[in-house]
Amino acid sequence: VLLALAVVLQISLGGLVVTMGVPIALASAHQANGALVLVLLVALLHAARPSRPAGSAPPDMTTVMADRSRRSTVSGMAGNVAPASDAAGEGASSLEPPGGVLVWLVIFIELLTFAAGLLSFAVSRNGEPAVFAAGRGALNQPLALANTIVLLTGGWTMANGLASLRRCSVEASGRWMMGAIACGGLFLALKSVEYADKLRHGLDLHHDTFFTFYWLLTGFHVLHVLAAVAILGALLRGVRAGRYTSRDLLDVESGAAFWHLCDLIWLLLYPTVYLLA
Amino acid sequence: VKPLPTISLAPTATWVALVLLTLVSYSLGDAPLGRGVPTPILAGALVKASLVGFMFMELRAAHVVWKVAFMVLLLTLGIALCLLRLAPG
Repeated sequence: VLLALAVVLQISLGGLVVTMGVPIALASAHQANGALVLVLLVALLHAARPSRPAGSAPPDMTTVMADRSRRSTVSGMAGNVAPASDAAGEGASSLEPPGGVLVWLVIFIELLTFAAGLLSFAVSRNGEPAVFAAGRGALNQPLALANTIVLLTGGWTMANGLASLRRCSVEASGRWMMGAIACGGLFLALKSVEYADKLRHGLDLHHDTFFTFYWLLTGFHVLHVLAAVAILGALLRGVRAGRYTSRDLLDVESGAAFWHLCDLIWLLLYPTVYLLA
Repeated sequence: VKPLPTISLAPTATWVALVLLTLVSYSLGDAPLGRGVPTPILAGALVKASLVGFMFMELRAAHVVWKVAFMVLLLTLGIALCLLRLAPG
């Protein structure tokens, strides 16, 4: 019900953004989106953990394996052959994507919201080409390029971290995840430099239409990177504590998918705002 | 026992391709090619987004429904942005 309501709200606000190019509608869409993502991430964290009565002992390994084997057999796979979270195995035969359905619903809703924002940006650019050309000229292109490469490198390190965890190499996985968090931190640091420079030159949210979009689109992306870094930090603690094994990776896969979503959004945002404005 | 490699080949090849495509897009961003230049830049962005989706986010292992939904969303956005960019201002 929550998802259905949120999707209706997103589509309505997104339609308003696209047809009218109203920045306040864009902001509202992102606010609704942010609230939804928060709720879904909390739900994800709860849903991903196997529930057991308070005070009871954790299940022994035999029980866990039997349960996994039973579930895998239901979905048509031999559970005791491949790791339960092996992305190349289970996902292709069932509707469950790597990371789980819930995080992919979040990803699609996020993509729809940012798509509405980018289309609204393109519509407004056609109405004020001189303003957008001047705005693009004021952006720091080398810094944006560096940020793109930093985010892509963060995606690469996280992919390696997940692969290492699947090979039961917990220590290597932790190092790769630290690399991803460092890339997130570097991205945020470079973004802070860029934002400080814009504010120093008076290019704030209300400077013109271009910078209204610039602050809203890149600002909401920065919020996503912040959230993703926090999620990776929590996952890293879990990995180092030995909470995740090669057979129990749903949380890590979900967090990794959300982290890669930041790459994905930036790869759409970067050419639209920085290269083609 | 042979030690397992810590760097995975597929993500590394994907990362190299992504960085190269980014550098190409960056160089095209300042190219004086007129209104035709958005098409290769946006096409490059769509290829990069697909690589992230299929390789990093592991959509390649997901059910075809997720793959199709992802590509439909990306292509719709890319085509719409391209048409808006090419339309007379």
